[in-house]
Amino acid sequence: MTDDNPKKDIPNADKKAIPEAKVPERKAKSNIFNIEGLTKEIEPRIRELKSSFLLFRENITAMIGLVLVLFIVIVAVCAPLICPPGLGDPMDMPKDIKPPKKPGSDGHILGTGHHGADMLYGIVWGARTSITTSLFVVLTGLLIGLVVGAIAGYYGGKVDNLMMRITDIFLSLPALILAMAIASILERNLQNMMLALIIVWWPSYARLIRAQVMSVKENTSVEAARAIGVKKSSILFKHIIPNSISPLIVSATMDIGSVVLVAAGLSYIGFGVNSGYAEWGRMISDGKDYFMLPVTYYGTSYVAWWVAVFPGIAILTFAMSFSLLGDALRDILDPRLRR
Amino acid sequence: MDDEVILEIEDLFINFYTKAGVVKAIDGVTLSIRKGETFGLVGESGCGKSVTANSIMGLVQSPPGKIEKGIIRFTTPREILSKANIKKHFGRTDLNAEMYRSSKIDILKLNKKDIRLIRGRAISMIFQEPMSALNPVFTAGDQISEIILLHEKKELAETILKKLEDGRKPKKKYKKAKKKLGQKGESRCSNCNGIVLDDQDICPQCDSSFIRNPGGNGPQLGYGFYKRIYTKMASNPDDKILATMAMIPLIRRYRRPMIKEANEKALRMLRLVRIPDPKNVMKSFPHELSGGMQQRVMIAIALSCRPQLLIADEPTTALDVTIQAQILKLIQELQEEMGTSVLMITHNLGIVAEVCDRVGVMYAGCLVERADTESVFKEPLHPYTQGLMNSIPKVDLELTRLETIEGNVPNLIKPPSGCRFHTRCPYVMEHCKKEKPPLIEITSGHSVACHLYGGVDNG
Amino acid sequence: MRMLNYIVKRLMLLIPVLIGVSLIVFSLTRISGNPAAGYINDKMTPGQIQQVYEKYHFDEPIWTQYVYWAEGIIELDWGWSKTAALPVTEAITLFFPATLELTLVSMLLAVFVGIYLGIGSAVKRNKPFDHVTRVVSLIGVSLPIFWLALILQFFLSYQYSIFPYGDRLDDIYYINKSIPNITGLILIDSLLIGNMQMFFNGVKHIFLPAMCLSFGTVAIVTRIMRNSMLEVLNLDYIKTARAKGLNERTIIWKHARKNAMIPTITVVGLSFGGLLGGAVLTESIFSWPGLGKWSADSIREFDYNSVLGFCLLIACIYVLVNLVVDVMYAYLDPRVRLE
Repeated sequence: MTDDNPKKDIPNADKKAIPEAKVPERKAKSNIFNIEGLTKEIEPRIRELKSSFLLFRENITAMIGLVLVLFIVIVAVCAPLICPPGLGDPMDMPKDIKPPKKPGSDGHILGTGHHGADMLYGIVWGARTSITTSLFVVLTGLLIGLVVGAIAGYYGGKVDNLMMRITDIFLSLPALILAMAIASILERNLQNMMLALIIVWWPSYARLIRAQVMSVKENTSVEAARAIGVKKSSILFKHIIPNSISPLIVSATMDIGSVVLVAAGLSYIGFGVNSGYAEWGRMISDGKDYFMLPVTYYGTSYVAWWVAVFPGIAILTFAMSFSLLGDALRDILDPRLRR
Repeated sequence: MDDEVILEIEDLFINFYTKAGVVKAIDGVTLSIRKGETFGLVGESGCGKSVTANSIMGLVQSPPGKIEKGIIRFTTPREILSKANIKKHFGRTDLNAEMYRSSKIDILKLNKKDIRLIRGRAISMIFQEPMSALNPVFTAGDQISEIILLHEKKELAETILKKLEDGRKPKKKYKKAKKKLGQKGESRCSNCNGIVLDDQDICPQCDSSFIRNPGGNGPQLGYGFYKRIYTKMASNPDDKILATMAMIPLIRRYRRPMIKEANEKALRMLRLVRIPDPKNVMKSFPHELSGGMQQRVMIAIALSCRPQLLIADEPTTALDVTIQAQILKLIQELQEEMGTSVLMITHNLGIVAEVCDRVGVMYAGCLVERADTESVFKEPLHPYTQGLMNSIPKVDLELTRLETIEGNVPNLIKPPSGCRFHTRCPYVMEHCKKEKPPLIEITSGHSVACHLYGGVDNG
Repeated sequence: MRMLNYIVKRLMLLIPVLIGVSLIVFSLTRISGNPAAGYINDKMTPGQIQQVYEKYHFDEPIWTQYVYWAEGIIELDWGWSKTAALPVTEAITLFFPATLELTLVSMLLAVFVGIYLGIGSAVKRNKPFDHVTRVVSLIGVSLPIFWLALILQFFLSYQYSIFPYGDRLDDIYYINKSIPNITGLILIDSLLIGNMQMFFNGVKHIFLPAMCLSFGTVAIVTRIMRNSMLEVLNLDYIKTARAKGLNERTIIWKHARKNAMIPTITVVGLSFGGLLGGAVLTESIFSWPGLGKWSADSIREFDYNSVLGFCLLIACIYVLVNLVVDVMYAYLDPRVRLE
């Protein structure tokens, strides 16, 4: 093929004129006070939110999860309204020396439990305990894990190696065992139990974030940002972390349920809270004896099964709803990437 | 090339029912493939070539896809014929029995069990990306012998029986010899100095053996036991008792000689597809092989049971151009050796020109032109085909701009009315928007579906 | 040969992890008040107590202490267990077989049932079997193990007396002292000596604890297997297998299953840790004389040393199990071996 100068023929061959590229006039930089600019920025985000909400609605299990979670949160928040506390610490269930009463008797909808404490009271205030404990543990663990994992993933090299070794060490101990080990050394109260759980949970977040950061790091958008000259730390916070967050959100949501399970296990063994505290695991521990030993009350003898069963159902519902919510979030956040 | 038609697709309509709507993927395709010929099915991505091929094999997934209408006629394999003659097979309608006993059978009406008699045996298929088409956890040899064990039990059993008999006869005495290295690095026989290939155990020139026991041993222990089993298998490969025995862990060992035979045959197949060092490849996993070798393994799998039709769904698209040429040449050579017909699906007109005898051009689910290769290239009749031919840059023309076909491929959920090409056709007429043109034969062997050519009374 | 290299390399990586774990355990021993208390018991003479002090150098800086402590660990002097009235190492040898048996049975149960359910669920997608399995799976992940144990014990042992309350065999075997001790696993030993009655008795006793312990793991394995199978069944090589003419059963159980098991095995290894943690709770409820019950008792009695000894042991086991899982992963997936 002859190597002609390609530019020679173009103006003659094509009669259509190439239109002038219109450069849009740049308006003033949009800041918070510029409403027009703001709405322009937010509009696509709102569209995305709307479409994800619609996706959410289609999925029945997602809706169930969301409804249940909201229900639990409302119950926890409105605890003082549903079951007005007496004097002193509301978490201490009001005691009575009497043996447990059946559900429905004397205005106790769910009956009474160990030392005559009202079951409904325990469940409702226990919801508060569970939500606060798990949220605190998950959020703190998430924060620590985020920092460690992001730095390790982004900077790589020796820093990465060191942090991953540390993470591996913590991950080589099963959750309950490590929590047991830590909690058994310290004084037995709620804060120390939460501390133990935080120490158990942060490594998995660190791992997760590190994997995400390492893959997002290779994105061309990040390369482009660096080419323009954005600072390394800025890139980390503005570009990489927002893109890596979705699996973290899913994981964190599902972990809220898992933390409650482990916390309940720990309180059952004897860590964390004392007997009579409104915590579901503790209530089961208090109530386990009533399973085998029938209670005699005014001549009738019965097995007070409800003392241990209702808190268990509460834990089950709590864990299930957050699990469903986490699943739903995963479904929403994932196919969006495929689109 | 025979005139005998082995596969006939008549008026095929396939729809896919999806959340977004009903995709009318195939809208009336009619073609026939003759014995020993290579039929090329050309078209853009998404025009329905793969769907047509899948429907021949019965691989169209039923929940979204549904074959609305159409007949695909194929020569009845003898296994089905023999089944039809067993009275037990049919209890209900005589209609099916009639169909099963005739010489040609409608593949679309076969039930799941019977279509498995055709897949891999009478019709086989190779796919576009050999890396993902091979199972990564099984060796190449395993995958080839799998299909041999599945379909050729009878032949394997017969070979084993023969080996058993031979094992009983007094062994032929071979002279002993050794392999030695010749001047140019090839192996030579120590007795006669003839050239010996790497995996030959007996010198072809002077008949001396290099190993202690040439020809291998037949199954050693339990001659009677093996004889009974394999005689049974030779007479009825699908015997239920043998199938059940194959599931019990220890008793399963009876299959060992068969597996060995199948492996030998797999090795022969690998040599047939010109893979160097086949013994190593047998033991390799797919990810350890190059793209070209993987595709050759696929071809070996497809051709091991000597099918009558080989469907090649874009076999070379994922390969480098040089490998492409090798693979195409291989397919052509094997086709000649085995007498297989090939349905070559591609979007590359160059390949069509190289290997295909006849061509069918597809657009948006319709077959728009069907002729032998020369006619299609020299005298394309359909405007789409003409557009395709014009868009190929030719060396001798001085072009400043490449020719294109204006517009885009239509959405098959709401396809254009009438002729599906009318939105892009430079010769569009009013009539084209209303009525879909039928595929009419214009000259001998050359059919077009276009209103520009109509009213010829050749059948 | 490649496999051997891989195993050796992984074993080498074990060592820093084990060192790290020992560091954690060591620091916990030193936080818990008087570290010497772990080694001293009432039966010791003042001379022996003096020896302990000399051996472990409690007065010297902490890093020297670590070295002596680590030496002690390697020499198998793990201290004294108050709860078991035995040295910790002897207590471990005493209780280990019981936990091993329970964990093995639960693991096998979980893996086989989980894989089968997962495959069935994927193949019968969106049919009743699938829905039921997914619901059961969800519940399994959200159930507190100790609560399940209590409920099962209540219904099946107390109310209906189908299964015994606990222990590994009926009391009569303990009284007659006819329990063989070849491998320490009662199920295997009774088969080895041919005592079928004992075998069935053992099965009866192990049934509830094993079911309890494996429930969560079954749920996880089912879920992962299902997702994995769904992914695999859409891949090209399944289409090739169909085009070969293989029947559905062979395609699912030979081609798809082997590929789908690859991610499942990893999850199985990780969930082994949960199994060990759950063993602590399950064993105490079912009075199963194993490591879990011993550690639960130790926690109740504030016997730190036993707890930490237990944790160290569990860490080693868990790390080894993960090594086994990695090797199996390499065995299943030939693409991995090249590393």
